[in-house]
Amino acid sequence: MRRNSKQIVSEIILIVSLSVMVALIYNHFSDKGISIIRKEIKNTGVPDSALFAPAESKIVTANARTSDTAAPENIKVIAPLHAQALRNQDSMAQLYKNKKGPVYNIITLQQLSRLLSERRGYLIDARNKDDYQKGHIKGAHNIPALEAEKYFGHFVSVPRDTLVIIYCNNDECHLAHTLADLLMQFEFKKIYIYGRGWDGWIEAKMPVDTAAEKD
Amino acid sequence: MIRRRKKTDSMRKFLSSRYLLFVSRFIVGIVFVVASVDKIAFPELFAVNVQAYGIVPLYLVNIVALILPWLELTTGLFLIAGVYVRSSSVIISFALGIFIVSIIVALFRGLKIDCGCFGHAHNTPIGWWRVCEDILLVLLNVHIYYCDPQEDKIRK
Repeated sequence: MRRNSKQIVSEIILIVSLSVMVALIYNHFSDKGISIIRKEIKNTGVPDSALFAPAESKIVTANARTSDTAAPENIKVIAPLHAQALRNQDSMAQLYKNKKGPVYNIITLQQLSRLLSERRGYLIDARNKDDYQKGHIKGAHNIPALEAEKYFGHFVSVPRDTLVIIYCNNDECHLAHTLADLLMQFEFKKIYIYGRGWDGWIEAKMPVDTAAEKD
Repeated sequence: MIRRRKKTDSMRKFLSSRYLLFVSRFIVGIVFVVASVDKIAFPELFAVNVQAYGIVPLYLVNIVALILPWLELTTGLFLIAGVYVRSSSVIISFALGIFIVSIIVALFRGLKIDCGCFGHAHNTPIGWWRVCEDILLVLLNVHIYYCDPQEDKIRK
């Protein structure tokens, strides 16, 4: 009996070692391979001032102060650094700058719908083809993150300073982040992720489009 | 007394039948092979599933997502082929135990997450039905472990 359990333990060690070895070798050579240690994803919110012109978002910068926007003398200014904070809009990104890995800019539903109503940005649905065909945000281009290499042609004609918005299923979905990584490598400068994704869009009962994408 | 013994013997004979054992091995084996394929093809998506349970520390998520599917594939194939049967069934039972605990914990925590059981190709939310399926697979493994002819050879 003891001999039997010894044999089973040695067989288990053999099977586990074999699996670990094959897994690591396959992962090394696979184009869908992932890093051994998972990195923490750093998300940061995007202030309206970073997306919309100051005049539209009714933000007063330090330089734009006029006599009617300046605080009256009898009112105590409680946030004197406000103008400075506005100049450093992405302060979370500043916090992260010394740490490794990219920081992703997350936009809200309100910001997304405003951008869409102003017809700004290149909207990308990073989910797979089937999900896209079942329903997507109107005007979204389907670039499945897991097959992004097949869609190089889509990026060639897009200027690198275009405002790109990516979404996938929800906050837990990594497809948008995966595609954002690729677009960062292509040197796109303004990449934003709609964090709540398709689930958030549906929950908010926003209009859905089921039309297939024109090639 | 003799009749009861006879009954137990015939039951044992039935459970140890070569064909019945092959059916059990084949069912467990094929379930594990099918479950592994999509996870191996898309490790990132499986890593997301693993992370969503919130049980595995972040630095271990990718390691689990990389190794577990290959372990499922290897043990599944071994079971179908009839090689290292008992050790494969031990590994599979251990994995199933972890799956059951993870799903129950997630259910009690009220998480509405994808099970990740068969990878991205078969999206299925977690639920008690999944737990029942896993328990059924554990029972099949118990059958394989105790009635495998290798065990009899060693006892004799």
